[in-house]
Amino acid sequence: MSKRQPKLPTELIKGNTKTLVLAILREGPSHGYAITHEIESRTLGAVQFRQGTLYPLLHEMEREGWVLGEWAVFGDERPKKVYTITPAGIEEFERCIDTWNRLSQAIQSVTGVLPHEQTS
Amino acid sequence: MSSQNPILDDYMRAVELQVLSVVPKEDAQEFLAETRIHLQQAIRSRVECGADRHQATTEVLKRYGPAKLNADDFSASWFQYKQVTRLTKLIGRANLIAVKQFVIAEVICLGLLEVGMKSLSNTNAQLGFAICLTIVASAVAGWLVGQKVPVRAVRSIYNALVPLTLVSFLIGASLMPNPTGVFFALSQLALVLPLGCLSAHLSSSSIRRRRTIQMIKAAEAASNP
Repeated sequence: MSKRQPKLPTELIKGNTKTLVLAILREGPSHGYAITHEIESRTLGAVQFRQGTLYPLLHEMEREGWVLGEWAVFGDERPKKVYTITPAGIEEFERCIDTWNRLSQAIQSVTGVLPHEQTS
Repeated sequence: MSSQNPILDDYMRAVELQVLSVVPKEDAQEFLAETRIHLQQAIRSRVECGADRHQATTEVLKRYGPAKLNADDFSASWFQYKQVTRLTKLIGRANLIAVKQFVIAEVICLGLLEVGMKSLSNTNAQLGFAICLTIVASAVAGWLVGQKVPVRAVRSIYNALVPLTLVSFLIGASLMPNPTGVFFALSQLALVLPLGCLSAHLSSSSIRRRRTIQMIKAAEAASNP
């Protein structure tokens, strides 16, 4: 079992929550709770954002046309709003990844450190 | 909707009151339902892992964040997208409202100052008039922003006034040795910004409190016909 990672600073995550959510939705439709759960488990707890920020973000993304939200019923459970990424959302995700790559390369070119390397 | 979990119900009631003091019920219903379902799921998964229900609820709500903060996040996002234009997308709808109100207030203020300075001969009277006018204009502009931007109005005033003050400083510096422009920028920093923020805070708080009281009264009236 992989070791849990120390939590990353909130201000670093804040601007990238949208990218993480779009990345999860690109793999298939999902609902709010599953999205946060998936992000936290994949990052081994390093990315833990205030969960209350997720729904305003999802609603914003819905208004922007990046995701489509629809209520669905699963078995005996209460209905949940399931979000699906749209073609505009995929384009936005690619833009976010491009920005992230450029930032990452810029930091690498200054520090000379690759993400998996340690400075000491 | 009750969950037979008083802690969760209290939290949801707090979120609901905060959200509905800004957002119409039909626009907030989905957010409130999603929030409740999310919290119930999170509590259930902790209980399934062996946690006590009370402890699970407390932990989940702590992770979720304060009710007011979550409600304000949603309300601010709703407000931003209520009327979308290129300009509001670029600088934010609330910021745009604040910029408009304060630019109008400053233009009126400068016009009145021009008239006042000509009609008053005494320097002390001129200074007093200028300070009084700035105080009144800031309070009125801040109040109007608070009425139009019911959530995070103070932040929008700060976002609007900081660039305006910087522009004033730059113009003031270019007019030196005439110190009028720099004095104007200093008055924006020392008077307009704090008074505008205070007035906006009072204004938006009062409008939200009034709506909350109305909602509570309506709910009471509905439960006791």
